[in-house]
Amino acid sequence: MGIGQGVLIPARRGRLRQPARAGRPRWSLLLLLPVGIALSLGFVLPLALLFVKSFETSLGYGQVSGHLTFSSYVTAVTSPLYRTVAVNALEIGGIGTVVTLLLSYPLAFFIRFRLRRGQNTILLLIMISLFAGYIVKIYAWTTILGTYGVINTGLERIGLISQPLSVLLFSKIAVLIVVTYLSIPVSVLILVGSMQNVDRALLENARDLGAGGLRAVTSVLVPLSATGIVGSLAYGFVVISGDYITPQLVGGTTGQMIGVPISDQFLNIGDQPLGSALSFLMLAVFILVYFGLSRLERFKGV
Amino acid sequence: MTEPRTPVTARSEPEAPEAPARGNAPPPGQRVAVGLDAVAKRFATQVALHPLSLAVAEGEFVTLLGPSGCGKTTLLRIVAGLEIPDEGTVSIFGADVTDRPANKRPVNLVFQRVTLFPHLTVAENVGFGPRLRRVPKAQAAEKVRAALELVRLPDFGGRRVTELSGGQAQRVALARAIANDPQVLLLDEPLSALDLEIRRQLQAELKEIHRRLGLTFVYVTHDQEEAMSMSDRVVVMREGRIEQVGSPVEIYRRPQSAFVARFLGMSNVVEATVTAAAGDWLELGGAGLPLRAPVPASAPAAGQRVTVVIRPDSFEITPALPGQAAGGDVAGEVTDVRFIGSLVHYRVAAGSRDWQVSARAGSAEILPEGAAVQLTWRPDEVIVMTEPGRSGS
Amino acid sequence: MSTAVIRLRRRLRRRGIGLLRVYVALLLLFLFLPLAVLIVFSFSASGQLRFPITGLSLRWYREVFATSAVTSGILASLEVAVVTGAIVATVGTLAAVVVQRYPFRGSGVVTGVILAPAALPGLVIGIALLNFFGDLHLTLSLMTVTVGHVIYTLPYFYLVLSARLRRFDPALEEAATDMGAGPVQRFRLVTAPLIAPAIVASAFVVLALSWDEFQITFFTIGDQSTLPLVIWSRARLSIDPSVNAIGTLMVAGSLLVVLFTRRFIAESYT
Repeated sequence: MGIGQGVLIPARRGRLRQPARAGRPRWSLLLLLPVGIALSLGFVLPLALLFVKSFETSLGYGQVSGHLTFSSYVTAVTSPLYRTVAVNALEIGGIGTVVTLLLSYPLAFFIRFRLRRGQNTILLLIMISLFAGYIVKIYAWTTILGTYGVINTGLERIGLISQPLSVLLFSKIAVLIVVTYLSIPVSVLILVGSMQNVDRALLENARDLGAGGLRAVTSVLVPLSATGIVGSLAYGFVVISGDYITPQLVGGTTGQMIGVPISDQFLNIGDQPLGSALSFLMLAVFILVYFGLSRLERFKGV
Repeated sequence: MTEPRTPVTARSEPEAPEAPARGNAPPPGQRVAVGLDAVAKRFATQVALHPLSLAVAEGEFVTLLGPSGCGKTTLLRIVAGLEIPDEGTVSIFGADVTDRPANKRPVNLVFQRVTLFPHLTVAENVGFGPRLRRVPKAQAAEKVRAALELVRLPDFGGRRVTELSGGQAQRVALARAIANDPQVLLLDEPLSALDLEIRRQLQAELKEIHRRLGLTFVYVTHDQEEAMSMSDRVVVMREGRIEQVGSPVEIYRRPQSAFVARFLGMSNVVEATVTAAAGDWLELGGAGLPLRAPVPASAPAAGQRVTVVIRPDSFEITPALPGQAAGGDVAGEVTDVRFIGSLVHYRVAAGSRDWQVSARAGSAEILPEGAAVQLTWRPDEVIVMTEPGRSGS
Repeated sequence: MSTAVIRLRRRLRRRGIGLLRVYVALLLLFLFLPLAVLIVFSFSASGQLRFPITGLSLRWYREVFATSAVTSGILASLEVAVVTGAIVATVGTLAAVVVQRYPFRGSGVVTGVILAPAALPGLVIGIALLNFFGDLHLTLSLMTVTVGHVIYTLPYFYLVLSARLRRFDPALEEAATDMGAGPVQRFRLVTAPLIAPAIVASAFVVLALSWDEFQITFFTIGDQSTLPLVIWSRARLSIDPSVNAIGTLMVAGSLLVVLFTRRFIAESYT
């Protein structure tokens, strides 16, 4: 069977056809229409309108005239009232996100590299803690930090203090503790996600080459999980500094953040252009932070 | 589907550079199962296939053999209908299927990776094709049973796909393709991800299944041993072109280019010059050994540079006995020994270069490194190729 | 590392415990402490939030279920969550599938826009929507809340689903085509069954996020309150121990959802 004998099939040459289709039907882009409409109407348009609002002149009680001006921005930037809370927001946001990262990283490492079968269970537990309710958790902390709360009574019992610490609740520290607490679950999830693609063997290799445990981690894992680290920092910063509920519940007088006056303008006072201006200034800061962090990521990758 | 017989006419065409390799059609009188005519394919940055033609006879086991990137998988996928050629036509039993989408072609493909549907059981996977064609349940069940029995997994119907080992999964994939009653079966390196022992086993089983079904098989692999052991004809491909087509024996004994020779494991490929051309024989110099070889079809003249190939198994190696100068033998020294089990591979320094020599191990003594040896060979096993590294058939 | 830490490590090592493990245990304790406190206090007999608790009682739970505000809050939250889930699942699946399967030059931009809401704090989204609805003279209601939830949860749905779709082997569809399946058959018999679990799992993420959402809802809420807002109003007005009970119920609900997702969705091929 089939020993070639130099026989050719008559060739029908050169029937060029159209180049093969890319495989993407035209109508596929139509499927993006729903999400396009949803995002345009629900996100892009409202934000654009808000931006326009920031240039309006306020007439109080939520009314605006048609006259466009920069005055809201000027007020926002120059008024000392907003400066304090803005600085608070940056401070607590910055410290909070860094502390969250430092606390979460070892846990993420443990979950990814030290657990074999328990991984899913722990991730599950973290998810439960995450979904247990934002407001519920803040409220729970008021119970813990309060004058008759867990910490104070506990410390009193042990004898470390004679008077309940009033600084625990209604202070900047309280806000810091609570917002850090709130961000840890998400941070852990982000970090574990970024570590998934790092091969265990790389770490083992580093140790084999002489790097001690901690050194192996910092020199190998950190650069490779840079995306997750940056993601965690960015997410943490935005969420923490934009939080307007926690300061109201546990912040007292010293722990207020910029979110509070912004929400106030829209809910009570009614100087909406000012509120918008403050928001967009906040967003501008976020963009700077994102930009800075992405630079950091590139640097770490080296 | 009954196809009219396609007459295969012999007609030599003066071809310019892109001449399809000769020997790419089966002997006349056989139906052509797969006909590829001047098929070419380009991807965005490179040419995957230069225009080539090939005819596979009904019931043949043809293997496309070549290194990665040579276009063999692309060619197979063109036959399957998963790629569309830029030029040329594809026909299955005489019917032009070039414009037909993959799901309408009477061929089935066994993929390299496991592509069993994970959400279906083994039986549901195997019965997928019949189910699509709305074959009545009883008949479909029978097909499934027969196919599973053919691949020696008769009781696996109820198993989940995720529980199968690599070898079992590929068998089920094979059963699935067969249960669909294709006219041609295509296999894209189905065994390359498996362990050696399982691979050998499945190679034998595949050959057996081919024999039993009488189905036309088109197989793709980069493993030359696999190709040689299973095929009726081998199509050696390189960089989008067909280098040589022929039976395993033919290709092995008469490689037509240095590439084919090297790819099949013949590592003694050297440059030489024709010192004399007399009648049926050539004298060659510059190869390090005094060589005579039969004149190839391209009939090189004296002074011409040629490529010479001597298969490692063409040499006979014996220990050199002191004082003995056997006529015609060449003296050498063993510089490397590799014992593979049934074979021993020696590297022998003889003449001015090293030669790869393989000998059956048997119970003979294995020569150590540094041993003085004598090499002898049959001159008619010396293969000569003229530029550009091709010999006539 | 400081000598103190080294000594601590050694002492722990002798007991077979790693320093890391200790840390992890402490951190997990920290994470669950507030929830534990919540649960404990929900069973406290006294109305005072003093520690330690004096007696056990179910009175707060009884009170919670007797209050119509709470039960209607639960229903409102459920309604919003389900509707949000349905919308996001539909819209998000289409988007994720198209971007995954048929990448085109602008697909990076599209992904960026879809994920953008996650880069903003809920505050900004909330006031933007409030302003928007105000300009449109739309009365605030559960519907406006739903809009906010859709925008908020869409990025997360998209992220989770995209990640799972990436693991889908296109060769499976080729195999189906090779077997003779036309485009519709292929979708029905192979594609849909394989991506369905991923869609459901991602949808559960949406449900959980929506159920919990506060910061955007705060601005878009009308007369009917969702459960988190009910808690807020109660917590604001006075020290209300029944909030502990509601909180515990929320934790329980979250536990159930997560377990349910795990049990029924875990076995998926993407």
